Amino acid sequence: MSTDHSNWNRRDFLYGLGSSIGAVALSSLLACDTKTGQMVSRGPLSPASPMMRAKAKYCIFLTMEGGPSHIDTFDPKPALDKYHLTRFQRQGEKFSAMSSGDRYFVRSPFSSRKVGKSGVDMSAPFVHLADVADEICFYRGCQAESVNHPTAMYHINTGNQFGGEPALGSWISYGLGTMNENLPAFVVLPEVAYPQGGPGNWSNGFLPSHYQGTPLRPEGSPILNINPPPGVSRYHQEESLELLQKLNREHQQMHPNHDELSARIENYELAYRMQMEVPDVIDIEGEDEKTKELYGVGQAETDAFGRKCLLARKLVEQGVRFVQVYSGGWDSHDFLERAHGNLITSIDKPIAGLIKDLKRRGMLDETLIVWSGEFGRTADNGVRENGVAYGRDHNPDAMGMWFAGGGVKAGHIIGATDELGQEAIDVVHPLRDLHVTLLHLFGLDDNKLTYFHGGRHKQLSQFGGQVIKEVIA
Amino acid sequence: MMDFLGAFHPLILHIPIGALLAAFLLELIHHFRKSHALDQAIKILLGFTAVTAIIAALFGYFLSQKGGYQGVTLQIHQWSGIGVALLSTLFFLLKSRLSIQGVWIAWGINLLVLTVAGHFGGSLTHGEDFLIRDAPGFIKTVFSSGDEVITNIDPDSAVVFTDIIQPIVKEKCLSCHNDSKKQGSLDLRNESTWRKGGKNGDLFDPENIEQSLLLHRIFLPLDHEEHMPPEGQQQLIPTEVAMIEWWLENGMPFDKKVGDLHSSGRIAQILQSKFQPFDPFEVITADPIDESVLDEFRSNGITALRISQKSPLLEVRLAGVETIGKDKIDLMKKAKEQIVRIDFHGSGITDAELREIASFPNLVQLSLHQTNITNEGIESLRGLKYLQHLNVHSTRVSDESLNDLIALDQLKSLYVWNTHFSSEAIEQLKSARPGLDLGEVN
Ligand code: HEC
Repeated sequence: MSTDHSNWNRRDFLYGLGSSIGAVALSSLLACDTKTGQMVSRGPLSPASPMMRAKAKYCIFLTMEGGPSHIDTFDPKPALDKYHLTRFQRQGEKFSAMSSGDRYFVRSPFSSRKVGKSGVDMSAPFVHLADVADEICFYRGCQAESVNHPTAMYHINTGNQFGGEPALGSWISYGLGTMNENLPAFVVLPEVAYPQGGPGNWSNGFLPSHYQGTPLRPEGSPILNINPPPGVSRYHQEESLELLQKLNREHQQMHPNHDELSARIENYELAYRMQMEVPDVIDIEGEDEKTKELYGVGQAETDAFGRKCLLARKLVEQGVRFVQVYSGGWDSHDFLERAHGNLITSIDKPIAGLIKDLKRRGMLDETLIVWSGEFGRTADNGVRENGVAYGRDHNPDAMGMWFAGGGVKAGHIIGATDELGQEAIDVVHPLRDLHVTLLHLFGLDDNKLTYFHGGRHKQLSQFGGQVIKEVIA
Repeated sequence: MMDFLGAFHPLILHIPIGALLAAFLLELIHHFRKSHALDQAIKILLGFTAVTAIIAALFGYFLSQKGGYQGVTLQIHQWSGIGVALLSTLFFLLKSRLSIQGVWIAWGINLLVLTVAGHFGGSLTHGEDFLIRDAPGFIKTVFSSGDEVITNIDPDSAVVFTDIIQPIVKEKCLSCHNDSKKQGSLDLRNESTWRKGGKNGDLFDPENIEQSLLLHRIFLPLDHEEHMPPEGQQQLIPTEVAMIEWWLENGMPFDKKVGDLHSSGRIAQILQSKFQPFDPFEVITADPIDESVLDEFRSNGITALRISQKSPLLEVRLAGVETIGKDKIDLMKKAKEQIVRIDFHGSGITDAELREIASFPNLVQLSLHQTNITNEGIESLRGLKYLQHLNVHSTRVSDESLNDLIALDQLKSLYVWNTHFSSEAIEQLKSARPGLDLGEVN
């Protein structure tokens, strides 16, 4: 028992201080968690004001699944010519089984040149993209963590390698809602084969289900069962939906905190509204021939990706917040020239067309385009069964990507990799900083865009990160 | 409630300042004339300081939450303010345990932190330069960080001599080097007088640039008789010197543009900060909008968002709305001052409706693409002094609008793809407004 007065005082003070600081922190967290400020009064997808003034309102995320090679696209390494086929050994914990052991360097099968007024690098197979080089901000400093496809995909898409967390598109829809309530806020245009990791790549994770990505199928009817079966009129449908909703609401009243239930009710309504809107939006046949030609629609090599890019523009034009477009098959462990060559050709004209089209329509300023894989590739390849294969392994230490529109520094190269492209050495940032930066471009603060789940306020970057200032105009 | 309490911050904060200073005064007296009563008084005053400082800090926090303040200044003020509350409390509680030396050190720290908090608080309310704004010239020179910022000029097309060098000379040299007062027989008014040089000849020596008459005079120590500008006059600041040096290193060209000269490192940095694009959002002020108005917008199908959560300025989206109609227009008039962007694309807006919209004085961005508006509608936009982005692609707007568009001073981007403009008109536009973004690549 202490009778020392001042001692008691100090403890009391510290206790008081501690609890009051806690209260301050709590109130600011509460304020943050409302993410959407004053504007939200209706559904969870109602449009909301950004936290900070920002240029970007829409995102078209071009995902090159499999991990495109930065060395053979936008970050040429002429020094590799010197070492071509030179053998060496690499061991170490940091490297996966895949990239250790007997190895040899591989030079790029493509020549590279400087394009645009800004003189940025592009490999020879990029023919059309050179036209829009001055609109692009190339970033060479990013580093991923995982060397495996599914975990790396989850990481870039959701900020967490293990999956199960909300995708970037979900977070942005959570923060800003959608501009068109007749369409989903977050649309995914996958390949026929889903990417490694599957639909977890566009999951809403622990966020309310309204924010999950809606995939539109690349072949056949884009959304299964969107059209009523023959013999069911719009009127019939309306009647039965009304009844269904009534029953659902009654059920909901008994389970007021059932988030999935309210999402389900919402989804029925959205699906109904989509019946009106979707067929128009996804019908790219209505576009004039010149525009289709701009995207390479109708040409064998570019048709598939061109259609998706054109559709992405139409969706964004209608107010969809986030469109993710997949191109698959970039995992070139061998036949680099043929595999990467064909893939580059398949995306070159469509992406150039997309940028030109957005630009002339005055949409590029507010649409952020991101081009990225899940990691970069090594400058070397492993000896397998003693054969030499012209390909590259997975490389999380150097991961080239680029941005266009949406308030990024056009016509710049930011950051650098070492002489052989093995590792980022300038303006180096981990993936979480990329996520913080992307949110920032949308006027969202990663530290404030949080959701209480599993006992803590969770955020896209997991535990905070830095804005990559160099890429922002 | 928080807002209400926050408003008392500027009032309350003077109490701990006064109390702490009074306590300090008593401490000084106590130092020379020890007295128990004084010691007690100091203690009471310190306790009082602590309590009021905590209240002031808390109210300050409320005030900052209300918005309107941001940036590093706020950060410094906030943390030093919290520091004052914390330190004065600790001081009050622990003073009796400190040695005499410790007491003085504690005083030093307390007063220092108080000064920092006070100064940055002052900067927040009265502006960064509030202390020296009315100070005599020589004091201003010492404190001025005042780099002229050039707005509205595309950095690459700015002429180095006329847009960068001459403005510096005009401010710092011309008063002594003009046609009526030719000190040292030197007149710096224009290119030809520059070329003439002064009584000692050419200002520029390509053989030995650093020793050129001009740079030599600038680089002489301040107290040297021949230093320019003479001691006691407004001096060049380092970035200005760097600009002049850069210009001479590039051969003192009179017609070259910024984009023509090589710039890197520090020079590139200075140039970048010099050419801040004009930002209308820094200038436009409007009263906060009443929440009930926004509710009304919402229930009438007008999507209106703040441009950022704490801004009074609004962005409206009426894209695809078949008929806009008088009701919506009248409603929007309630936020006439606040609305800075409207997206009408694909809507049924008419020329007559656009004419009404054009009376919204603070419009920065108008999207009218894929609508039925015509040249007549464009004509009504003439008075919009902040209009920076106009999108009329896929409309019937044509050459007749050319002059109305050129007249929009602030216009930075104009999307005219798929309209009825002739290619000659487009060329005319380009030459009248170089740097205007027409949505073309390359
Ligand atoms: C208060 C008046 C004053 C101002 C302001 C002033 N000067 Fe002078 N300047 C003089 C006087 C007086 C002389 C002649 C005496 C001397 O040679 O020192 C002179 C001489 C010079 C000369 C030498 C000319 C020659 O041929 O000998 C140069 C160069 C010069 N000034 C440059 C500048 C520049 C550059 C600035 C602005 C940054 C500037 N001055 C501002 C008063 C001024």
